[in-house]
Amino acid sequence: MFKRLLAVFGLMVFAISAQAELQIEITGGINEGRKIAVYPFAQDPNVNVDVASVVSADLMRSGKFSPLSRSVLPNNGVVENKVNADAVASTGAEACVYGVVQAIEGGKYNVEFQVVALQGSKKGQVIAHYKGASSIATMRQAAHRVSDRIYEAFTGQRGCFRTRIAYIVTKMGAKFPYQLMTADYDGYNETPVVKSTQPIMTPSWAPDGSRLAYVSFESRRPAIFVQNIKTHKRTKLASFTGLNSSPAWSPDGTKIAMTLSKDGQPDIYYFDLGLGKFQRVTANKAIDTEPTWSADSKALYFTSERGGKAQIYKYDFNTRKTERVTYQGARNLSARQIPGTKSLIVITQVNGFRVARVDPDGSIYMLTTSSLDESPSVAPNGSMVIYSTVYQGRKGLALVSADGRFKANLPSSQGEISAPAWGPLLSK
Amino acid sequence: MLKNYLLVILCALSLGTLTACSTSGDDSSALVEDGSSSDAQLGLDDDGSLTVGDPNAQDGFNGPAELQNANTIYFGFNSENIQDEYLAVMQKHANYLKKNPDARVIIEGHTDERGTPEYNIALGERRARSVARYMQNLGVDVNQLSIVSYGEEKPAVEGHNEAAWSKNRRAVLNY
Repeated sequence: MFKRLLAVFGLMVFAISAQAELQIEITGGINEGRKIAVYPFAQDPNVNVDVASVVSADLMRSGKFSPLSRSVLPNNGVVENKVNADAVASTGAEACVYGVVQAIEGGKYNVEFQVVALQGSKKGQVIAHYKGASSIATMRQAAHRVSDRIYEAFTGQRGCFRTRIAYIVTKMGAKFPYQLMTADYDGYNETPVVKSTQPIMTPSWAPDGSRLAYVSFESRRPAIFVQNIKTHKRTKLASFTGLNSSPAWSPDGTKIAMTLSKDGQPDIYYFDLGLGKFQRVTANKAIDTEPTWSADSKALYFTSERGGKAQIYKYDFNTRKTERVTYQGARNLSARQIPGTKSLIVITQVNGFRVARVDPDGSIYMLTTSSLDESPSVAPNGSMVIYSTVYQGRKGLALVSADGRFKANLPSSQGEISAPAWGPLLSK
Repeated sequence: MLKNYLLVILCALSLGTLTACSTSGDDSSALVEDGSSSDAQLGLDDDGSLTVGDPNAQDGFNGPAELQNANTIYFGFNSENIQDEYLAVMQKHANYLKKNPDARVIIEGHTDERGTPEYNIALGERRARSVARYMQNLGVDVNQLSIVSYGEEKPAVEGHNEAAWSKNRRAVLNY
């Protein structure tokens, strides 16, 4: 009995410590994805992560799936570790996910799962199957890998459930109120990187995920640092007179773009890591800022007031020409190319500031209805946008799918959260 | 492909040169990859994160007491135009600076939270510059003036409404 109590207590402690700083509240689009039945996995009792619930949450957040609630899954859907397609088909789900987590040698566990088609000519066929080993400590990652495989099987696109995000937490009154954190994309495994007495802005990932560039006000003025997130060692990259802001690492890893005002007004520059030199890109009396790279690292998008109000422009390194990209909307800011497409995510000013998508023909689609959105960052597979917004009186993170159908808030349990930056895809 | 390899090598080399001059010694220099001196106090927290700054340092008005309550200029939304009611504030500081040629003023530009942080830090700089220009016109030596923009990062008033925003769109004269 005592032993059992201890075991229960142990589980409770785990449950509390594993509590994500970021929770999720779905605010739209929950029933619009593809219906899928995810059965609880048959798990070794030592495994304290409910793999199936991690998978369900991943698939739902992607905006592409609507996993069925467990309460509506037929009891006879899985019999003797086999999916009973006839039984589950009655739910209307397109496919059924089921798996086992079994102990193997060396404290490791095999995570094995299959996806069985439930409708049409493929009914009863296994459409995806995978087996891989994991330790208890990496079980959430193993669950995210299951989600990645399922996502890819259905969409043909890589899943990005094993990515990290960086963001800033502000806890006024704390010893170090400004905190740069990284976490799994779903808010778990939060790791503090820098805690400062002065503001931190604009984290930007190196494409290999090893370093973050960011702006720190630690010397009572902004400077750009590059920090290795494992060793904590850092380099001061830019601390010129005036603005040193908006760092953006190129996708090919060779350059860091930024805004400097050392020559009189905010203009776009980049630091060439190979040459160890700063290069100027724009020279304009109006504000030029918020540089971000095209996916091929051959162009920079940026925000400029050269035409009066802030709009998005694009500088092409091959032609050395700058063209205006956005025309609709009072002001457009914070452009981010959606990987794999020619569309951009922007913040547009219409009844406040909202996340919107600008398509190659120039048309603009509102993705949100909130009014204080900022700092959009697109998932590396282009499916989702994470951004910060004010929700129920507090600044926190939110997700919206690139098609605008799925929306969720990630309210914080502590402090205000801003400046999310979606990290790169690393593992296969 | 070969080009990619070259780029990787170049990057590694450039970072290598940055590390090459790092010094060994006390804990905080070990945290600085390029060996550059940091103006801020560095440390490692119990959770393994880098800590920056002195939590006991005072973070408020450092100027003369008589100017403490007249050191803020408020702005309209997305504007750097100085309204007439704040001319007296700048005049007081200009008088003080002219009488005290060793005094140095830092003009801090701030914005409300609307718009994007990276745009707002540029707007905050424009506000600070606009105040600096006016102070120069009042006869203050340019060497006594410096500007810094915090954008929307240091609101004077917490809150997500116009009452807070109107107090946050400001320039603060500090020393």
